[in-house]
Amino acid sequence: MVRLLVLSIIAGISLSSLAQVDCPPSKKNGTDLANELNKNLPEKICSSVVSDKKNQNIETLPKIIYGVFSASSKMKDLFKLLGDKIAAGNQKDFHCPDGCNKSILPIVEIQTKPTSTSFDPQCPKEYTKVALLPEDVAKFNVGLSERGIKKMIKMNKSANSCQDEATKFSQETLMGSNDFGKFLEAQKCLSPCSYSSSVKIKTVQTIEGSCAVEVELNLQCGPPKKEREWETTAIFQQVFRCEATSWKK
Amino acid sequence: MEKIVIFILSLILAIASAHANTCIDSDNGVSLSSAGKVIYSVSPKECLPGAQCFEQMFKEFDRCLGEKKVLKFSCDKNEMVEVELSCPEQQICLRGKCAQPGKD
Repeated sequence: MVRLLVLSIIAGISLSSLAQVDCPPSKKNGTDLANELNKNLPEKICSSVVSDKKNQNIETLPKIIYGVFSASSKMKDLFKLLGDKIAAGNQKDFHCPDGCNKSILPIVEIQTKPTSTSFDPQCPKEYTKVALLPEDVAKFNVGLSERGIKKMIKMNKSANSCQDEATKFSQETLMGSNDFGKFLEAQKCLSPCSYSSSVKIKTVQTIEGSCAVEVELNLQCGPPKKEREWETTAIFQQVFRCEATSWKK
Repeated sequence: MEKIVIFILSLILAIASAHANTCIDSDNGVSLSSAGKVIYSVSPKECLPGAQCFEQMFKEFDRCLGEKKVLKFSCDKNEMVEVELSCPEQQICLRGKCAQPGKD
């Protein structure tokens, strides 16, 4: 009986030491384990920008210069070129992990300014981005974007209503007839300085009976124009992404 | 025949309105005694695939070109128009309008 007891104790010690060799104590806590599990979710795997340096390049298109009569056709040509570039980009194939959706995001930035200006001591010598403080944007219920200010417009109306509202907002802001425009005219770009603004209106939602658009104003303040001639520069970029849309909240 | 003419006219109007420039004048015309401003686009709004549309807009204030001359901006058929005018006798240009010296 005693021999059996001693043998049992020896066997127990041996087994526990064997177990310690095979399974060292884990340093991971519950959070670490949860994080490790999360890494395997499709959302984590898919949310990536495809690292194709060639496709990520920012392309600056040739500058166009035009007068009143040629403005429309020159601008049409520019947008035809941009449209062709977007169409060509949409044909490009790239690899995404299994279960992810491919997404191509074209980024277009356009800037226009007069080719010649008149000097005025009250105005910046060059067209300069209108700088706003966070408290300014909060006061007027607008947001800051990389290139200017942006505002989201949502309505329980047709898509055209949102487009019209976005156009109205941008025109009233430039004209100085809404509170934000009055503030800009009084504090940021005073008479007789000129504004140049590229207005971008992007539809972000079109569900029957409701609409949402984002309007972005790239506002620049500069000297008054001299001639009736303008120049436009455009930059183009296409970002290739892998997305797990079904997992996104 | 009448229907065809109406159709063509409607088509021309539709194209014109779809591709119209923007021009808005604060004082609806040219007035020497007030300083106004205009906002205008240099070309009609253009849209790209992906539901994004662009419009290049500008703003100009009426301004003085020396002591007696004023540059006035206005709109005509959605196009920005500018005209250089002389102030009447005994008036000078002050901040984009003509006024008697010392009365602005």
